[in-house]
Amino acid sequence: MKILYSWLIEYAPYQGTPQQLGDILTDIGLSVESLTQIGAEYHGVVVGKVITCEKVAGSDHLSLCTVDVGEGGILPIVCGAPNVAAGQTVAAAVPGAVLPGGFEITERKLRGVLSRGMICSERELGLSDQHKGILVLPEDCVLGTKVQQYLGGVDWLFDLEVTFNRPDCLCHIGVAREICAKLGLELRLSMPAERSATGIANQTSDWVTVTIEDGVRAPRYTARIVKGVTVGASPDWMQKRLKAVGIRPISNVVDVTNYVMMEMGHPLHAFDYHLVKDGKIVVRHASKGEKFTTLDNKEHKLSVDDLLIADSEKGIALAGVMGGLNSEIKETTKDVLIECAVFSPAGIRITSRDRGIQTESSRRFERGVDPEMTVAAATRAAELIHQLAGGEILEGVVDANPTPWKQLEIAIRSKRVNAVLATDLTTEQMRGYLGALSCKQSELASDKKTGDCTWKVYPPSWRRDLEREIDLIEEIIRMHGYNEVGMATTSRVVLEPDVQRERERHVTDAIKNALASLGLREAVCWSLISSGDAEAFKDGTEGAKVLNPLSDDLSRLRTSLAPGLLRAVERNINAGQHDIRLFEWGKCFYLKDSEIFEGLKLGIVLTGKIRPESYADKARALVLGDSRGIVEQFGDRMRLKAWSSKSNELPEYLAVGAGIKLGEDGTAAGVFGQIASETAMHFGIDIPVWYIEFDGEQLLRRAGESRRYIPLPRFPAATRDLAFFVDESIEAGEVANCLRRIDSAILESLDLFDVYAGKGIEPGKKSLAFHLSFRSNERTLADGEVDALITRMVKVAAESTGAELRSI
Amino acid sequence: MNISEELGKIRRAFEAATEADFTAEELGKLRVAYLGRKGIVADLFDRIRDVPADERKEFGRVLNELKLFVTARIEEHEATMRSKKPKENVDVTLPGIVGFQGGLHPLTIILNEITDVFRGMGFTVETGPEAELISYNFDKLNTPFWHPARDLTDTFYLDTPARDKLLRTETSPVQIRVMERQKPPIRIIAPGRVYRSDKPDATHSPIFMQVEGLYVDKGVSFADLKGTVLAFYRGLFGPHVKTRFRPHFFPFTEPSAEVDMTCIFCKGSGCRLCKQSGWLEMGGSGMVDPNVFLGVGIDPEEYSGWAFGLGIERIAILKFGVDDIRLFYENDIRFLRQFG
Ligand SMILES: [Zn+2]
Repeated sequence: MKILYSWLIEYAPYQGTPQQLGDILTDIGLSVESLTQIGAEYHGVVVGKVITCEKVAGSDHLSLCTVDVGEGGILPIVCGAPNVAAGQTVAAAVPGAVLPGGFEITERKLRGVLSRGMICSERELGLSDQHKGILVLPEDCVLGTKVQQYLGGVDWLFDLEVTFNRPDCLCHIGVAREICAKLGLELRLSMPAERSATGIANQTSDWVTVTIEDGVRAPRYTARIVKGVTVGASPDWMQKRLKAVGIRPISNVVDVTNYVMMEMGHPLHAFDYHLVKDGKIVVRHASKGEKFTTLDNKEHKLSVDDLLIADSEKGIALAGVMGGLNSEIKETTKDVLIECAVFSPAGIRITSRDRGIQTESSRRFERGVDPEMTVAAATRAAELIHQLAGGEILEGVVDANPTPWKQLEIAIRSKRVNAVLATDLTTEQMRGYLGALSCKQSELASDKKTGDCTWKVYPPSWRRDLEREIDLIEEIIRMHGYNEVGMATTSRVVLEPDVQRERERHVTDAIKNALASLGLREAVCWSLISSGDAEAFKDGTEGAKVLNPLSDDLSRLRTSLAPGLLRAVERNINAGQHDIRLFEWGKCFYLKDSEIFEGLKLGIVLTGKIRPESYADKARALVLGDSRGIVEQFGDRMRLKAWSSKSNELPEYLAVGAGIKLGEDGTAAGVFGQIASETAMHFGIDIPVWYIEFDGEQLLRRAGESRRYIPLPRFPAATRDLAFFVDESIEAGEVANCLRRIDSAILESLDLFDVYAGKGIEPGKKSLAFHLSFRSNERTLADGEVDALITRMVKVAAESTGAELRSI
Repeated sequence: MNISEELGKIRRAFEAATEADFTAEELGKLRVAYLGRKGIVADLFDRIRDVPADERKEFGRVLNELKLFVTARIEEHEATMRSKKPKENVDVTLPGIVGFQGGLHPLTIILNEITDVFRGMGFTVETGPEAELISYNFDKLNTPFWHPARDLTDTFYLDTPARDKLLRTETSPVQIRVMERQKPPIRIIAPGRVYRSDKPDATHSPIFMQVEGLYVDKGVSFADLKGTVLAFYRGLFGPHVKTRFRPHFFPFTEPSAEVDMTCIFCKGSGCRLCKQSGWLEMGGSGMVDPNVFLGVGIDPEEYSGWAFGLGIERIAILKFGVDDIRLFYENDIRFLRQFG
């Protein structure tokens, strides 16, 4: 909300600086978003009188003037303006003066003639673009005084953040009222009194009738008429003020309605009386499909939810939102019908939203206007129109008020006030603050038993936000000062931590730290993705859509973390980074039986080299095993019990890979593998990229099992290496599993250390070599015992996988 | 050859071997060969038991002498080596060979700091759904049906048959969920993502993160709110910061306040970053509105409480000096690397 300082202090007799006022406004909840100076600043320019004026020899345009500047004496000033002449009263910048833009005036010589100052044009004083000649002042200006007092000086424009609950502050009087309440000043209002009878037979009620068909949507409608006006431009001062607060001047009549809105906060509308058929105002709902053209020459198709101001045959305004083209004020308008009404905020919102129109008027009605101000505002507008456009104000108003405003009564308890605020305000202070805000108050009633004082408060009609005791408490502390309340620094209770929540938080931290220690960087991606990405990424779930997306880019909720991470990979590759290792921990969403479900997931994406390349050696490119390696190491770090993986049905977005199963029951908990090239290409990636995804909820449940110490081995291990030939189709995991099954009690570890196919090996076969370690916790194993086991292992492997022993 | 002769021979061999210059590596090998746990000297000591009893004393003496000699000689070599420039071409300025470094996202780092400060004050971390019921996001938070936050232009609604969900615009619905479930005293923080229909630019992101604090108990006052918020910002930014409370409006609190903190760049004297005010806008707060309590079945005459919310990106931007909020969501490694 833009508030002009000079306008504001017409109502609030405030004496400090605009900057200090800004701090006060901020303190009472009208945050100053900006405070800007309007009009240029200059000093040292005084009223002077040109005594003599003669041409400078050898110049065709310069004149040498002698200028009387009062106490400053008589100065010789060379002037180049064509209109300068003896006898003029002028704005003289004396040596030492600083003009707008910091231009300093000094004594200097022009064509050998000494000039001790400058006679200023309007542009040189930042008043306008006028630069054809010097500015000539009225003759009664006092010589030697500052010109600002005749020209109007610098002004200041506040941009205030007015919260939704305070529409009463969307005008200059409203803000002035707040300042006066806070500073204990008297508000200077010159509200027009009802005009006394002029003897003219014309009564407003003879000219106009008002019928309100829906008293809920339109609780009140006040009409007033000024006849015989001359429509033209409004005066300079009014145009300046309107422009400063962001309103385009149109004509004197229309400008008055806007001026009164900015002054008193109540939107008004002016109709050309003769375009209102039969002088009949009907406030009614539009009929379905009714066409209506607003002032801005746009045609709207209305619905029954729209409220219209109509005459006896047609709509003439979209109530509270915008007037109609068919009844607007034109140069030919003679008689003006002023509307000042009250419309329900909810109704205005509907029309404003459905018709896509937001105006200064709708903005105020949406928040709620003062229902008791219609007559005063209409009368103020009539007075101003009469002043600026002539004509006669018809006597009286037509005031339809089917739903009159009801004064609220709120009970307040002094003890409660101090308890909520932790203050020790006296009852007098509380009553003083509420009184300053124009609240009427009943006598005090004190309860002898509790020592509490209670009374009733009646807030003014413009404070519709004050409904309950707590609202009054806020007003009291707002006036007293939020920063006057102390700071409590000790807490009264100790609360037992919620063990379950604490554990979840702890495990989440542990998961992220484990991944970071594996050389992965945490990413945070937007959880909304484009429809294209959602459709290209096929993970077999149904995603949820945003009903009203900002753009297609953010129209679907992610079902997986992969789309976001793959986009991050693309962005990094495009920025010239090729080794990318990212993870994200976040919510994913899916639709099931028409319901949205959400759950945490962990996504990991890898591409590039196994480690940064160095001068010492070339780093190899990542392979599938590296993604599995991350899964294994992470599983180990997080103490994920009995997890295993098995080739199963892969999601469509993976080319190769496997599922991850957790727990003794082998619950499916994720996948790892290489992103299918079709999917990768969609995301703009043309190099191999690996992806791992875990179900986050399962990780939270299963990870971080309490750790138990396992005694360090006391007996030596016996180690053996075993190599087999198998068919290429046999998975290493299958062979390993059947070796493990023989005697898990003493088989300490089994690691695959070589896979080989090709030269020297029968086509269609491959060689797998395992390193085995055996150990007992009770004794040193005898060689024979181990050898017997190996023999059995070889036999079982041969039987179940066709493995043929290559070497021991 | 008797054992004494053997000792002599070993000594001569060692002397011959140490005439020449060594590389550091060679010297290391020599040290292991002679003085290592299974080295020549150790081996000789093991053989003392094979020496006839009457010769043992003398053998021991000679052997000790040999050990001292070898040690001294090796150390002498090491000293010379350290004193002069290495003979071979070793370039110690070659960069270290490193693996990939992992790390946490800057927003996680900030959230962890925030969580730590609140946990220190006895708050528990709570979470709630991001796809939230409209009633939890608005109605139960006392947001009137006409409030602009409900607009299609401000809030993302979800396309489900029931049309009853949206992407939460605040973390405040978590307050409601906790208060419905748990009796006071309640002291929680709720961090998480929130969504608002803002076009992305340097200062806006349609998806961002908030933390919400809630404290409900008997006799909780506005002074408790002010004290806790001040303690929190001091915990995060240091003991010199001050806070300022400005009246504001939020549907779910009354009285409501906007919280400002001393500008950390100019220490309050006014600079470009605080628009010369000396204050930085840090978040919203207020006393829980009685209507909110009534909606969750808590008697507002018996209990009172405060709520406080702030944006995590805002803190991260201040702490790290980041100038574009979108960077947090682009995941450029060159950006991430600067924090984790
Ligand atoms: Zn600053």
